[in-house]
Amino acid sequence: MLNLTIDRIIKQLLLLGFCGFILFVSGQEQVLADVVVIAHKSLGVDSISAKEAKKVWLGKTKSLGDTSLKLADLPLGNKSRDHFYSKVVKKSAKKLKAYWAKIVFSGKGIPPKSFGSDAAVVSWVASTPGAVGYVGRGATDDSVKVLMISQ
Amino acid sequence: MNNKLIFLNGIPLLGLALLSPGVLAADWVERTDISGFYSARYSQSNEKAYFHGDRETGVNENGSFQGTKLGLTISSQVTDDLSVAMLLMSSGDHEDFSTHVDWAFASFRLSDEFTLRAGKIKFPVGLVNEYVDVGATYPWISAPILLYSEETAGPQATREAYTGSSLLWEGDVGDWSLGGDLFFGQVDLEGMSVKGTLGVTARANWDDTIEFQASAYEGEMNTDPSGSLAMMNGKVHAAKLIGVKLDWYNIVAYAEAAKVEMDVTMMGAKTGDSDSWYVTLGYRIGQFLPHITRQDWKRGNGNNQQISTLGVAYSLTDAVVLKAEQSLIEMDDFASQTGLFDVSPADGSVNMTSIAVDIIF
Repeated sequence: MLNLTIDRIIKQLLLLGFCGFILFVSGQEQVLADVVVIAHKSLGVDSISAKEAKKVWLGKTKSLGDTSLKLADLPLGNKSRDHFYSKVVKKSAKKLKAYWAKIVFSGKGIPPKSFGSDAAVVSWVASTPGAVGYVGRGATDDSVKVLMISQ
Repeated sequence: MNNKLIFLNGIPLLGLALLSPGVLAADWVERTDISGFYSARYSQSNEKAYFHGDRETGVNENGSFQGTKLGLTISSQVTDDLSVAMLLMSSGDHEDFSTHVDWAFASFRLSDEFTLRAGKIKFPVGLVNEYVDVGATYPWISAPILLYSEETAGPQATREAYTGSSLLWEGDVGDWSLGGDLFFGQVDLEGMSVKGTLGVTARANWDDTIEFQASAYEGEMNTDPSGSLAMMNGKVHAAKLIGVKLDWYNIVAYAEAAKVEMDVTMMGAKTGDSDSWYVTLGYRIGQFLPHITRQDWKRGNGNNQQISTLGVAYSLTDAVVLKAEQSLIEMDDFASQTGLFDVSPADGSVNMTSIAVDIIF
């Protein structure tokens, strides 16, 4: 009788632990899935809309607050990149490739500079006047200015 | 003391001197983008006459790799407002794969809306002409030849490039991206040129789903007064083009029309005038894009040529596309005209099969 009660308690604890782990993991994923648009602290603008961010990363808006922009990008397959281009820029990887191919191969522009990780983007934006980038929400720190949050 | 100061001051100066080339190189790399494209093409017809070229560059029953090319675009942001860009290209159409500078120009950004460009610039007329060498940017193996051919005997509606300057304007109205390009310069062709070419192109694009383009330009032909093209010397060459492109869900469509006028009369006919158009319809099925194209070209002397093409493009990745096409080239009066063949073909209907791989990197 006692063994059965202990067994039930252990099972319930294991179940509770498993549910907690699932909630923790999904919570972590939610935090990672959020993307923030960041800028060098000297940029004369404190916030931008998703529409403005789209124009910036498509190379249509080249300056903000009288400052010429330098754009940071993340590599293909990066979750923050997937979120940013599907929710903010609203272009598939294929359409984006075609869009930049037309601009680059007609000499009309240069695509955003690609970095290997969120941390590399934060470091470059923090040290480069005029730089803007996007990273996972958990990757940002006080060294940069947050212009927009996309959930 | 002074010597010591000089010595101490010399260390950072020397360091700077030694480091500066590396620093400059690193800075240049950060401000520069190098992108490339490669297209391998093979075409074969069932006709002895060469199509779109001569024995060296045309396509006939023996097959040809015409159109195979490798290009590298180098673009560098010199300052916040000044950039330079160039395209190095190696292709079978130019002296047996020798590398040449296809275009090279500097751009100065006057504001977010206006940019001034100067140099050798891709001709901004035709929906795909500014990136016509990059096969991965459109569904066909080659842009429709009865409108895009730059052969002397062709429609001459579009040009490869011009040397001069242009004023670009870009703006937005709602979700529409609008653009204008006012350009002026000289077009250099094989054995002749078009001087004082002045033109304008207007564009309207809604989120890369639908795009409209209209262009008009004119210039003065400059040929050898004692050569075989002397009758064109000093004549005004003018063209007007309109086009629309649709990329909506799985539907892909292109349509363009061009009207070319040149005041040259031979045997009572305006041989320099021509009308050409094409329509393409395609439907994406997964990574496949089957499409059909009808092209038409009518010259002022009554000669004409039509091409019907059934093709398919398969996107192996976002950057690699495999293509295959079957075309039927038709001419009403094939015995007395050539169209884009080097000599009159033996039959009014010629079949041509083409395959290609297009890569961007």
